Amino acid sequence: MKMPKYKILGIILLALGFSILIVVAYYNNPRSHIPLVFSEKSLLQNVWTNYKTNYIESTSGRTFDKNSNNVTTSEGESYTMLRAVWMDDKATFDQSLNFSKNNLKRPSDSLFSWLYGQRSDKSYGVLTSQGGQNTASDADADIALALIFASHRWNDASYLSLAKTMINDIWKEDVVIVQGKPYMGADNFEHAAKGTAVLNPSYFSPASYRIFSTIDKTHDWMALVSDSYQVLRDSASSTLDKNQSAGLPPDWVLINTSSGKLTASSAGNLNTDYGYDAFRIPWRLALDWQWFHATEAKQTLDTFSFLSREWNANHLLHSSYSHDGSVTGQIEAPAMYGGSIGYFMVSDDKNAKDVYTNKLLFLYDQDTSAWKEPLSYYDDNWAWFGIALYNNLLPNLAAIQ
Amino acid sequence: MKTNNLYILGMLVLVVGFLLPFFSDAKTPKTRSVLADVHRANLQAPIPAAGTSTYGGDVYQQIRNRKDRTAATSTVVTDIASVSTTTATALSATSTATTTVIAASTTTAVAGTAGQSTPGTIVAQQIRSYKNLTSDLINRFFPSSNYAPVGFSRPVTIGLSIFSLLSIVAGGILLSGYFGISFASIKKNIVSLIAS
Repeated sequence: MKMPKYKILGIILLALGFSILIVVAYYNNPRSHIPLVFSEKSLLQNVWTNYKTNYIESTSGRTFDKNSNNVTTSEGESYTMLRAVWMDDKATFDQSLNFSKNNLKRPSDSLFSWLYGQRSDKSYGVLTSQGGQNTASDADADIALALIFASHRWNDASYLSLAKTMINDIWKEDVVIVQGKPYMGADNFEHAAKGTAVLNPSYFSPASYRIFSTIDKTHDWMALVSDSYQVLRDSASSTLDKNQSAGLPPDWVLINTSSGKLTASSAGNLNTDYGYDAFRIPWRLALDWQWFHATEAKQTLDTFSFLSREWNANHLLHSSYSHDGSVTGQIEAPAMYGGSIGYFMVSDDKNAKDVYTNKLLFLYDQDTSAWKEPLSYYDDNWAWFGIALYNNLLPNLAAIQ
Repeated sequence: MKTNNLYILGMLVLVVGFLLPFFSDAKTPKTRSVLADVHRANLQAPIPAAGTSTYGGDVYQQIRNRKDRTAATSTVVTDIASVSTTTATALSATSTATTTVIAASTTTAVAGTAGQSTPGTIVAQQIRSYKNLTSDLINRFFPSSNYAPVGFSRPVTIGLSIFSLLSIVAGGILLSGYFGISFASIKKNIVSLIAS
């Protein structure tokens, strides 16, 4: 009678030991925390639905940023419109467009004020005390692109009509001419700036400009494409305000309106980091590569090889890097991966899948059809854009007749 | 006698292995969650641009909010400090620096009504300093809630691994005893195998 007891105990201990070993090995493997996503389209749809619940006011269609006193930016509306048109969500697109037209449209042109929110007297409106009535050229260009896409997607010429007016005004208000060459300024101030004009290279959208060139023949949009690439390459290779350059493009840079020379700004908020602005550059250039096979896009992205070295060394990217490559933001940010995935897709396909799987797909929970942890407005947008880009789900809708 | 010892050994292994995982883990989900909340709250207050004029009431409110968050952070810090002396030392330095900045902020900032103008540059710099300190604190221990380490913590992994390995060994010994296999017979078989 004694022996069977020990036999049973022995078997139980063996089974228990092996089971625990297997569980520990499985649970500790990062791969086990990556969702088994069978349809990236469903993932994008689910996350988009959640985004609408979390960041778009259902009654007004206003996109707001919970982490910044619930303000609304023209950038936020542009992201909503782009996502909506790619997701074939006309109702949301129209809501966002109507909100923007009714609340953000500037009285003097067809462009949009960049900042809206609650004023000190508790009323809501454009925050003129913070320069909110000015434009943000990336938002204007993205909204114009979304309108062109909408006209093709839903076969409605009224979208195209508004886009044409906007494109004309973008050139008039946002583009800076230096030595006869056009550059996209950061806002509507720069085209009249004396001495230096502020540029944000992440606002450059060569793929959009190529599309604008087919609609607006009165302005040289293709020159803006090549001059944008020139600034991207020069600002990345120049040391700017550091002793050396890591080869990454900066968040902000100044252009001398007489000589065209690029310099760093002394203003603390216009830094030369590769950070929360600049990471959008690889994404925008990857679109130019996907849609138009632009060799300039690949050649420029190839120069951002610092990102490969960083990934190979640490298997992560920090949220921001100084222009010389030192780390200025210790944390990891989903938005950084969502934008930088464009570089890996075009210039380092060996690591692209790892970055996508471990840093973007990782964020999703298949069981709840949502992000595992809530993402900020900005992270949500850029994680979505990155995942969609990687899966070739951001088509050039203007090319579809 | 031999089997009784094995039985006791097996039970000991079970008890020790079961208890091991409970003896550590400073980064409990609750602590991480609280710190993540503090981090999120920290991101909410905007920093006025240096040199710009700001509204006294708003800025005072921001500082007061940050003071509240510091209290929340301190509570968490105390929790963590009770777990690890090393952690406590590191946090103490940060905490002291934070307290200094907040003290300076509250001394400089005067409670005003909304609309009252205050020197924005000084207050903005203080808020920025505090924001950086809080970020440093969070980032030092919890790099990102979105990319928190996966799997069991290191002590739990070690504890479970030891437990499972000992279970396998104990189970193997018990079973080998049941089938009449002894270490001597195993040795004898190996020796004869080599000899043949």
